[in-house]
Amino acid sequence: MNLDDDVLLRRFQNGDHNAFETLFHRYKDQTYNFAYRMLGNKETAGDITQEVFMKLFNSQKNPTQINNLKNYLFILTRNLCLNRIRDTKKESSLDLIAEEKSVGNEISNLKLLKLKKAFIRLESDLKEALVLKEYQGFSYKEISEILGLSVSAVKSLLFRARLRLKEVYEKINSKR
Amino acid sequence: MNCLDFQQLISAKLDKELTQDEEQILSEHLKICTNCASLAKELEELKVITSTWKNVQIPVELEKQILNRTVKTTRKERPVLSFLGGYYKVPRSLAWASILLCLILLVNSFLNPLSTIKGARKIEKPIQEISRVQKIVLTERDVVVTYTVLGKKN
Repeated sequence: MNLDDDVLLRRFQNGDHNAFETLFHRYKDQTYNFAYRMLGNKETAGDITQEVFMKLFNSQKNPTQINNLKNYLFILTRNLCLNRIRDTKKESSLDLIAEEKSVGNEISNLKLLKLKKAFIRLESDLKEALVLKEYQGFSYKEISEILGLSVSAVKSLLFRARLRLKEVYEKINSKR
Repeated sequence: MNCLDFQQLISAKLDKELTQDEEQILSEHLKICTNCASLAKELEELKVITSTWKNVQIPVELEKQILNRTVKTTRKERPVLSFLGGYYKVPRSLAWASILLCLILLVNSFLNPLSTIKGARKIEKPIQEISRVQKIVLTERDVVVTYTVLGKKN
């Protein structure tokens, strides 16, 4: 049975830990991938994912008003990623370099690798907008709720993000 | 509308966020503006490459770790005889066997009280009480006549 988030969240807040487990399995990969694309490092993405679900679990003791669980998780992940970026002052791309060795000479793989490199160099606000749209499939309205912006601002942000990605990608491309 | 506005529409089109009217206006513009048409093509190519970056799965170890630190911790079963505060760590089967043995002895003591010291005392007690209330009733026949002999003492 596929219960919706609100029902499961209410059950979890009433002490049903199976409900938490179901929610965890529903959002673990999305949270992990969002953090991974934001930070470019699997280990740090793992730490962030763990922190997100620990916070959700601990919210059972001090229930907070969660109107939309999916948005709540992404806002939490985004804030933790931004804190991490601010603290470390650099976004590690060690994993991407490691992946480069395993990638063959196929043109499509090479293009993807360059795109990843370009992606990692994007400014945080542009990157998060792109990840939320391209990889998490959020609508403009949902992104505006997560980022705390208007819908037209999201539209403009995504446009700037694409232009910047294109610019960095072409720069990387021209080096070879 | 200028080219910048149309370029924003190109991006929104890739996101499938255009109305029918906007789509119509954009397609008309792209027919006459080579600059915007070229950008539309480039952004489309970039989107294709972007879509090849597949999601990865969360590592199994990490998944276990998170569950262990959340639900599994609070679900941990309390050991039998936990009220002893962990001073006595006994195997569960042994603990249950001890409890069962105690129950058997308890039931046995109720069903067969003579076999216990306490039960035996319970029987003895009434006998002692009866002996205390016994009365010696003397009748006239039982009266013994006593004589007193008076005499000098040597």
